[in-house]
Formats: sequence, structure tokens, C-alpha cells
Amino acid sequence: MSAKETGFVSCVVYVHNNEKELEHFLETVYPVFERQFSRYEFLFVDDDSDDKSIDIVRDYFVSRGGCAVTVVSMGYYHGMELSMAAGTDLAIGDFIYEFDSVWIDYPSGLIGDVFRKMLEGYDIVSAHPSRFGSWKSYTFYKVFNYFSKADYDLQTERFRILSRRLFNRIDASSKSRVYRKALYATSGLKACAITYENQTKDRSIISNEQRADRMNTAIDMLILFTDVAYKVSLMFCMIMLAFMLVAGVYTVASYFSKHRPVEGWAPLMGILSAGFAGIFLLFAFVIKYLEVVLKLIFQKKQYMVASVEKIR
Amino acid sequence: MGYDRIILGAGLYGLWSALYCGKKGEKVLVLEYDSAPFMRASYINQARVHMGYHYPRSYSTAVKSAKYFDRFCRDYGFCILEDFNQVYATSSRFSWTNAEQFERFCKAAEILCDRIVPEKYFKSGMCDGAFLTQEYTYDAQLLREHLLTEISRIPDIRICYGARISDIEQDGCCYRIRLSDGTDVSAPFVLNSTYASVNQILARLGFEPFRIKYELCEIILCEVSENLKHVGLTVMDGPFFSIMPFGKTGLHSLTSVTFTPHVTNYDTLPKFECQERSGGTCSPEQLGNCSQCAARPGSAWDYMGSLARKYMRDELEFKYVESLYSMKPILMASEVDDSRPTVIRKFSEGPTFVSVLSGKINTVYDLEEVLDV
Repeated sequence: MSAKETGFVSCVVYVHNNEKELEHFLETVYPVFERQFSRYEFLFVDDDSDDKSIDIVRDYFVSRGGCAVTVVSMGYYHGMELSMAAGTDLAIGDFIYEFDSVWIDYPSGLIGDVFRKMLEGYDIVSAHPSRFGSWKSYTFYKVFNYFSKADYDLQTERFRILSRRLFNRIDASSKSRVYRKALYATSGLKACAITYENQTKDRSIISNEQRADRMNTAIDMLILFTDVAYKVSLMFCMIMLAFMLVAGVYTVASYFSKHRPVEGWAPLMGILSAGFAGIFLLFAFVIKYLEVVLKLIFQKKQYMVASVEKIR
Repeated sequence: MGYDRIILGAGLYGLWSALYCGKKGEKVLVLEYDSAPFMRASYINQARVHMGYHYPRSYSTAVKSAKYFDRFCRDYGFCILEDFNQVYATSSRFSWTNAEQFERFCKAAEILCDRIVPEKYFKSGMCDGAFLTQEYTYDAQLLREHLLTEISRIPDIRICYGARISDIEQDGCCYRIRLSDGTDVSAPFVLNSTYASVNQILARLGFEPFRIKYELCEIILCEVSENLKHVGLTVMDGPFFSIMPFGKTGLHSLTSVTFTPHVTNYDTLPKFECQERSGGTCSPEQLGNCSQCAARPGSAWDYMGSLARKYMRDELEFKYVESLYSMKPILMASEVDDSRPTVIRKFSEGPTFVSVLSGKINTVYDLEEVLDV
């Protein structure tokens, strides 16, 4: 690397009980920043870790001069979306790296590649592993991309870099930065991904809490950013309508036929209960939909930060 | 030589007190460590004439600031810049105070606060409220000249620059101070208005120190574009910044909550790693002048500039000119409620020893009470 890049770069890292991976992460990422950028800061978002993660960060930076390092401690477990929103809100860089995980299965040079790609005129550049996680995330992205109105396909990403322009746009149009990936994808700005060959899957340990959080995020994203819920409920509505029509025809026919069924009450009750069941199911969708909309629009404070500490 | 009052420190509080006492016909000596007055915190600060806006979580501080605001403007109008729009804004995120709370607070404290559209100065979505307020900035150099001229008219006030105190002790009903050049002075009343050195003086006398922390602070002076010339912006109460006219210098001062303090020390006496590199000019027992120190930290312009640019509209431009550094003592009690009280403490009576510690210029009038005794 000849000359250092002069733009101000922020690096936001999500940390949740990562004491095993953090040291390797710091040793890989920090030297890249030191070598490549003249002005940068690190922000570690500690999502209520109860291990030594933050001590590792503290110890690592004690002996290293130069850049600002901040630890944002979340008041309680918030999940990745809210925590990263807190981190990027605080970042001051013209370019912002988001490391959703401290797991490293890519060559360190990729961090610089992503930056250079961005300078070619992209506002979002992500690093995408060729082999990735579970069938669950695979299915999620398949469904999401099929139904979404976004400009580009979402996929598993290890980290990404984003421009200040993108954040300005999102801040101006949206109340929160939750469901980031979908927001970025629907921002209308240019995005691209660099795919790299990874040998191993992300083996960092995921707690049940995190798993539930991811699942919840996935469902919320599907409902908010795709029309899948709308389509399913509409389809259901149509089936119910057809069913009711058939039942109606049958009722009319049996009414006028000479051989009235002896057990005349049974079909009628059947139709009624089926109809009501369908209505309630529809309500379930409506309620879930409304809940998410409410959450996004009316919940003013999206996260509670316990402290912001600049450790150097 | 005997005096009626000895005042330690030729900052605003020191010179103001000297003048106040001199006018009453008392014989006053001011001892200043630096070679000129107003070399440190009186000059190196945001130069705000506080109206109270800064303390949305401390109602009492706000009310007191507002009370003295008018009086200070009346007394020192010549050094005050008034004709600019002072805008306070609340950040959409990470703020301890939101727009509604701020508005309510101003109403309660009876200070001016007119809502304006945040997008006039800030990027869309960054601030949830912006307010036009009434707050001014003072020019430390003009104030200094004025005080010196006034003082020069009173022959009974003497200012001794470059004073090195080698010893202070109680001697009957007086305090006796020996300087390193052999001068011996005494007075029945000593005012310690040394600001950051307040505990260093107290330690020499064995008095109980103030509970303070020390921050080595940097203030950046900027040249600004025409559209920012008559505007001061403060995004408050959180990890934010302020850019506002710096007295009548034509420059703006840029500060930030996170990046203005470079190093913090929680000891009773200020102990910093850079003191070892200061070439003997600074120690925990005697602070040097940070702005002139060879070991002063590098500028945080990269950080402060980026932070401000993140919030401010792109067409509002500002450019780095220079950095000023000073040591700032902060009373530990003021962290939670954000108050900045002026503390005046009397350590002994007959002879009297008084220490004052304040981060605001317009509360200087608080001293009247203790000087009138």
C-alpha cells in the first residue's frame, strides 16, 4: 500500500460474548486499518456480554496509539439490529465499516478490497462468503429475495462498508436503522458484493437468545420489506371466499332439493366454524402486521444505551 | 511587604477581584505564574456568556446563569459579540435531552427559546429540534485589556507576573508567601483563583482538596464560510459538538464533548503522562501552560471536524486555523445532573483563605459576598 486513504473511516463491530474470537479479529483487522487509513476510529458495540470480551478490547488498545476507540455498552441484550444501529449512529466517519460478527474466514486484504470497490462508485459494498451458514438463512434469503421489491438481492454477509451518503438518506427517510440490510437494499443507492471463497463456516457460538433474535428479525423483515404476508393473506382470503361460495351453493341446493338431509344442522355449523376460523387467521396476520408497523413508527427510543466510554 | 489582599492567578476571576478590592481602597497584590494575564482558561474556553442553556439537567445552574447574564452584558458590553444566531439543537439520537424536554426546561427557566427548522443548519434527520436562543460570546483579549486599563488607574493594585511561590504559611493573623526571587509578602486575606491549580495551592497549605477530575482540553479555532459567520451551533447534552463565534476575533471555536478532552486524570493533584515530556515545565505540583507545552497532544481536528460535518449541512464550511490547549478541572459532583456550580470555599478565617472554582465567567459576581467581608 503506497499512500494512505484520507477519508475518515469508522469501524463498528458487534460484540456479544466473543472472547474466543476477538483477539484474532483485532490482530487481523487493526493492522489493516493502521496501514491503510490515516484517519479512523473503532466503535465496539457490547451487547450485554457477560464474558471478558470488552476486557480483551481494552487490553489490546492500551498499548496502541493513534486512533479513537469507543465502547458502547447496551443496557441489556438488544440483539444485533438495534445494537448496530446504536453503533452506526455514533460513528462519525465518511465511510463506515459494519462487522456484524468478529468471525474471520476471509483474507485480511478483503477489507481493503471492499474499500477500493466503494471508491469506484458504490455506496454499499459487502463481503459475501461463497459457502455459508445454515439452511435456515438460505431459505430466508431465497424467500426474501423472491418477494422483495429491493434493487438487489440480500445474502449472507460477513461485513460491509457503507457511505455517509447512505446513512444521510436513511436518516432522512426512516425513523430507525433497524432491519439495516433491507433498508440499505431499498435505499436506491448503488450496491455490490465481493464474493470470497471461505473454507469454514462461522463457528462462533450462538446463544438461544441470539437465535431467537435472528428468527424474529427474519420474520419482521419478511413482513416489512416484502409483500409475502399480504400475498398469503390475500390468497387465504380467496380460498375462504371460494369455500363460502361453494357452501352457499350447497346450502341453497339442499334447501330446494326434495331429499333434505336429515342432519340439516351439521353442514351449516361446519360452514360457520370454517368461516370463522378463516377470519381469525386473517386477523392474526393483520395483527402481526400492525404490530411491526407500530413498532417502527411509534416507538421513539429504539434502544437504551447504558454508557458510551471512549477508552482512548 | 504587607497587603490587604493577595490574589493568586491573573485570570478573569483574579483580575476582577483585584479591581473590585482595589476600588474599595484596599492594597492588592496579584501573583501570576505565567508572563501575562489571561493565558489559560480565561482565554482558552468556548467564550460563552452563559445564559443557562447548557444545563438542561440542572435547573439551579441555569437560573443562576440567567440571573448574572444581564449584569455581565451591562458591565462588559464592549467585549461581547451579540449579533449572531446562537442555535441549540437536540440530536435525534444519543441525546440525554430531547426537543420537548429542552423547550419545557427553557420555559421553566424563563429563557428565550424559539423553535426553528433543524434542516436550516443540520442534515435531514440528524436533529429532532433546533432553537434560536439568546446567548453571547465574550472576547477574552478585549476583556483583559479593559481590566488591565482599569487596574492601572489604581496605584494600590500590583500585579506580579512570572511569580514562583516557594512557600506559603500562616503567620499569626496573616498568610506569608515567599517567592523564589526572595520577595516576601503577606496579607490577612488570600484568594486562590488559580482554577486548574486550585488543589496544588491547597496542598501546600494542607487544606482539604476539591474533589475534581482534570481534563486536558483542546479548543480548535476555525475560519468559517460567510453563511456560518453569524451563526453559532451547539448540539447539546450527549456526545456532540459546538461551533460558535470566538469573541470578536472573527474566528469560530470548535469543541466536542468526546474529543475536546484528550486525557483525563482523577487524582487529587493533576498527574499526566505528558508531564514527563514537558521538559520540567509541568508537574503534579505545578501545572505548566498546556498551549505552550512541547508535550501537548496532537490535534483532534480529524475527529471534531468529522463529527461536526456529520451533523452540519455541507454548505456550512469551516477550516482549521489553530488549536489551543488548557487544563480544565471539573467538580466530580456535577457529572449526573450536568451542573457546573461555582464553588467558593473558605478554608480559614483570621487570616482568611478562600478558594474559588468556576467554569463560567458570568458567575464571577458570586465573589462579591466573600470579598465584602
